[in-house]
Amino acid sequence: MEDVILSVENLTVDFYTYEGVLHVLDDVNFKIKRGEIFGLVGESGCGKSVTSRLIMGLVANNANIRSGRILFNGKDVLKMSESELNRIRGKEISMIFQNPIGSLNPVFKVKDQMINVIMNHQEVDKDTALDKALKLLKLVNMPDPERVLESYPFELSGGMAQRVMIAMAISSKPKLLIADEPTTALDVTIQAQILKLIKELQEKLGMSVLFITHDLGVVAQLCDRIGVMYAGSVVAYGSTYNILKNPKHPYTMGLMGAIPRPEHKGKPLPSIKGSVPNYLDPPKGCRFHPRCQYAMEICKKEKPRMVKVGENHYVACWLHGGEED
Amino acid sequence: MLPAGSMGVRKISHPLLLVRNLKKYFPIKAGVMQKVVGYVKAVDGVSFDVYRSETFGVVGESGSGKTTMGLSILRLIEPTEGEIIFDAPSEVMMEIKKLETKERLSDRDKKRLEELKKRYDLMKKDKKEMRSIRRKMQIVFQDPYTSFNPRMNMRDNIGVILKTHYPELSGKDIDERVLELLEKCGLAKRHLRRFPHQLSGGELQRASIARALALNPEFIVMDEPTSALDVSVQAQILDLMQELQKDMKLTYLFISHDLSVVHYISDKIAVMYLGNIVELGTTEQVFEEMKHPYTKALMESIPYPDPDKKGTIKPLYGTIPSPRNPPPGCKFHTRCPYAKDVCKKLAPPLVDVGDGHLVACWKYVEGAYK
Repeated sequence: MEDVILSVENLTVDFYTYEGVLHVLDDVNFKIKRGEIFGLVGESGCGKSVTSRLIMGLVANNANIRSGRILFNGKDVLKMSESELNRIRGKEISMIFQNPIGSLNPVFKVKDQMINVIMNHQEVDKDTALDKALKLLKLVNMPDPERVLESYPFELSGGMAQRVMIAMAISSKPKLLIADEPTTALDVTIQAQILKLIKELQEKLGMSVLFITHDLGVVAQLCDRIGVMYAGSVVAYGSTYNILKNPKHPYTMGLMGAIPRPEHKGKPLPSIKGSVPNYLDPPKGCRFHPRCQYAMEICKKEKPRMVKVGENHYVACWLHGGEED
Repeated sequence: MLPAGSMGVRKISHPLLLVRNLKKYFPIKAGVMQKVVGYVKAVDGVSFDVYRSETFGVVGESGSGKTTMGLSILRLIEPTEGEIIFDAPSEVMMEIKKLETKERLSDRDKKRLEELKKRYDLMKKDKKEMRSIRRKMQIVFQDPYTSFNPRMNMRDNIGVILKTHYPELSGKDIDERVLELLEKCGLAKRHLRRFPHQLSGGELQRASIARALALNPEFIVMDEPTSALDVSVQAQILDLMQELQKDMKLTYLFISHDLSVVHYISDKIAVMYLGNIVELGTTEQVFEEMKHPYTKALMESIPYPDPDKKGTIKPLYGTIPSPRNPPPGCKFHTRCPYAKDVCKKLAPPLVDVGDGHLVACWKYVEGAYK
């Protein structure tokens, strides 16, 4: 299993709130291989961001990890001490977020923030760090990097701030980069630039990327393999090509159908009825069954297992007998 | 409540709205005395026609002025300059159009055109007149979470509009009307007494549409109505919008940054860049025979959810310049792969490249692109 950098196994997590216990993650499983871009797709509230934070060891106070482990390089992140976590956070696993300007400290220049990050993880003096910062900005194709170093975050556009975030994230050559909706707040033309940059850097540095997004288009462009999440579970898993070309899970089929395309023009869009369930009292069995047009009796009672439905294509759905993985 | 002649089914559609040379400049103030030191030209002279019962799509990146344009048309913000001719009888609209396209106007024609425009120009209306006109023109905003009063339940949030415009209505009348509106938009009686925070994003956007319909409008500005929603919910809202359009003969100005949504829903499309329309035409013209380099670049940047198209996106160089200090000449020249000398000096006119397909690019002006 040497080619696997990250393995999330049977992860089930609840959150305690004033309203009651939220049963958010329900048996999440996926693996990320070395040197691949893995996409985690799903709509808002499906648990994709919670999963990514758990991978960073960022466990909220009110979280109760009922079962499962997250193996990074063979070691369970959930069992690591705070000091062990600090050694890997930002160094071996780093992260970029949806709102790049909000992720930077507004009162420090880009230069100071970058130097801070670099000196935190590498034993270099300030001048070398500054030099490295400049090199990193050049690596992320930043226009006018010298000026950007002297700027405050509010002086940057969204695309530039995201490049700064990426430069900081890759400063210590991480093995895994978690990108949580990094292009959602950006315009399409800028999104295209950032996607290309992430792909280039991933190839150049040989790192793995966990790309979290709600946009199936982005996933189709960028990711080698994906996991489709719905209401806290992975419902489809495998090669991007097979899942999107020939979706087998009713949720994936519904999602693909709901995207407005030219050929739908003048006809109503096939949409998925209803809305995402409440985590206080999620549906029994398959969590998708109340919205599924193919729902059967068994779907209401038992949670479906992941089964193989094609080459490198797995779904958790009772419709498919398939061979078990 | 609707004027006669606007409803009937007619084969030939007439314009409902003519926008002419609309401008909105925001002053930049500086110093202790707050002296005006410059202007952000958010909307810099746009003209277009919107026909009855059609969806006119407006696309552009953030900062292109599309929202400012939508708000200016409703005069929710005061335009700096321009004409907004709204809801004139179809004969008048046709006469205006005819006079405008006439090669040489006699003095009498000019006077007639001015007089006609003046009568129906929203810019010439006072506050009281605008208030009654606004019953016919409504807006749905991007963020449904912040466009309702959080302290009022949905009945009051929508009812307050009815009460404002029709003070004679009784509480019971309002109850009934609000319920009717909510049901029309796919909500139910149980939503009536709920507060905004108790509704999901999709439900709230349905309620926003219900609110926009409260006064039986003819024209609705849809300002990114689905951008804050998930794809599956977005599909539901788009379906609802189209159903209502058919039932109530509504005309939409649909503003969005999402090209696939605009493609799906619009009959005509205007592409905006830094306050100007750079391309305008029917959906087929803009999507299949696109001419402007910016439109092309936009299309090439969209990631399609088709794994066969992996690696086909081509990023456009650079970012949208600040509207505070836009480049001279064609505003797109700093990012345009085809820019020549003329583009850096002079702004290109919007020219017809065939069948009403308008493009603002020197490449399509004969003899200019050298």
